[in-house]
Order: sequence, then C-alpha cells, then structure tokens
Amino acid sequence: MPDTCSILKRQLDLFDTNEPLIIKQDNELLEFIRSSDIKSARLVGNTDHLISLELPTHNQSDIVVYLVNESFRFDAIVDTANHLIKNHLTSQGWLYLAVNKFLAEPDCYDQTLPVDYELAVLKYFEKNIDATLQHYITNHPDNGTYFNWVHPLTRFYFQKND
Amino acid sequence: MTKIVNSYAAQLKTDPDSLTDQHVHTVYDISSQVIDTLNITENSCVMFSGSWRFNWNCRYIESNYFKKSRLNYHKNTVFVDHNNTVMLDYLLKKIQPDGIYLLHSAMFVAYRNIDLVLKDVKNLSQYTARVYCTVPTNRIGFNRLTTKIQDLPGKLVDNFLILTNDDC
Repeated sequence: MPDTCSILKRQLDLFDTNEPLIIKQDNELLEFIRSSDIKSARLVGNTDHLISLELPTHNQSDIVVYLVNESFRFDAIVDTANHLIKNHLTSQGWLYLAVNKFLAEPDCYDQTLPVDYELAVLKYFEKNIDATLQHYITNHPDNGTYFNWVHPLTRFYFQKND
Repeated sequence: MTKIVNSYAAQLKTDPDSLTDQHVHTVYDISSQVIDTLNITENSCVMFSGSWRFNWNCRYIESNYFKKSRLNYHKNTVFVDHNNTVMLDYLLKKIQPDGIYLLHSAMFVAYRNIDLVLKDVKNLSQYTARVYCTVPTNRIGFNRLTTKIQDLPGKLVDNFLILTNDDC
C-alpha cells in the first residue's frame, strides 16, 4: 500500500490551482491544537504526512495523534489507545484517534452494537477506551473523494481522566 | 494564503494527462482469480470498469467525462454521461446484453453500503439475466464490528467479493 504522503501528493496534484492546499481534516486538527494550548505531541500510526505539526514529543505529551490507515482489528486499536492514554499523556491530555473504517478486519466484536456502522464504531470506542469522549466527527456518507486514505474521516477526541 | 480543501471532486484539472490519472483511479486492481470466474460473451456489457485493461470482444460502457484521456480504450467502448440514467436505460435496452459486469469499479461502488450496491445490481437485472459486481472487500461499506467476512452476501474470492443479482 502506498504511504499517505504519496497518496496526498497524487490527490492534491489533481487540483487546478497554484495555491498551497491543506486538507480539511489536517486543518481541523491543527486548529484544535492551536486553540487548546497544546505544547507537545506524540504521533502514532500513519502520520507521515503531518509534518506541519512540528511540536516536541515528551514522554508524556499534551496530545497523542493516532492515525490508522492500514488493516487493523478494533480490539488492537483499543489496547494501543489505552496504553497511550495511561503512559504517554499528561493529566487531562488529549488522544486524537482517526481510523479508516474500511480497513477494519471484519468480526463479531460485540453483537450488542447498533446496526449502523458509524454508530457502532462510536459506541465501541466510547465503551472500551479509558478516557472521556469529547468529540466525534465523521463524514458519512463517504464516496471516496474526501481524503479518507490520507487522514481518516472517522475521528475522535478523547480526554484523559484525572 | 493556504486553501482548505474538503474533497478532490471539485476543481479538478481536465487536460488529457489529468483525465488519464483520474480515470485510472476509478478502478481497482483486479486479479486473475476474479476474471477466471466470469463468462464474458460477445454481447456482454462491461460497465465503468476501465475498458483499456480488458481484451474481451464484448461491449463496454465508460463515462464520457474521461473520453479525452490518453487511455487506450477498447474499440467497442461507448461513452455516456454516467449520471444520465435516461441515456443508460436507453442504451441497455438497445443492447439487450447477455450479462452486465461491473468489475472493480470505484465509480459504481463508491464506498457505499453493500445494501445500496445490491439495490443497484437488482435494478440493472431488468436489462439482463446476469449482473455481476466485483469489488475488493475493503472498498465497500458494511458493519465490520458485527459481521464476519464469510457472512456477507455474494461469493468471496481472496479479498474480493463477487455480488450477483441472485444475492439481491
């Protein structure tokens, strides 16, 4: 699978403009970081295109940005997220999680979840990640033109509990 | 000033090279295992699947948006506005195809839920006895938290799903 940098370059090259471009998901994350007094960040997963973040990484950072744009299991994402929250976030720090929902390994993770996939993803992470969900963003329905394969559209802002 | 972009469906370049690049990305790589399952006849109709990549002597329909691309379309290719359902209806009634094939077509599946894709497959069965839609499993929508891959409708070949009008 191509890396997200090359996918982004290819997709932005299609635009008929000379202006510098930033995709909406990246911009929303940067705006959140700027407005939340975040001074340090840890990047985890498929974050290679996020060069503009340019914040120092401490052992415990104010935000962990965790992008998943490769084949994954939901239970493994939960395990990693909870490890990051416990070990690498400051008190009241933020976990930003974005997953490409099309790349999840299908399974019966929990039969009590809603039939609607968007809602099921929300409920699964809300139930299993050890932090408070403050914001959930999706872009349903996705027709494949919203840069999901660069910066996934299914996004969560969790805040670490004291 | 940096411009914020939400979708690459707007403001796209329309020169031949850009149209070529865009059209190549409306289809997914297809494996010989999938192709081997198909029985394409002279009067089969392969729609929005990238006629440049097949050698079957059959009928092909592609979107006229890409007509000026540099791709080497099969000689039996007809170009139509893919949003013009009246024209498609007219064309398919005129062809009366033995089968309709949508092969790894991002244009047809477009990340929609499998139920919606099957609805369109069923709709196309008014023109022919056989409709085949093939797609990589990671390009179609379904609830991956509650559904095992083997519980999906259709036939699974490697990581590809083959849906037919019998699955509707």
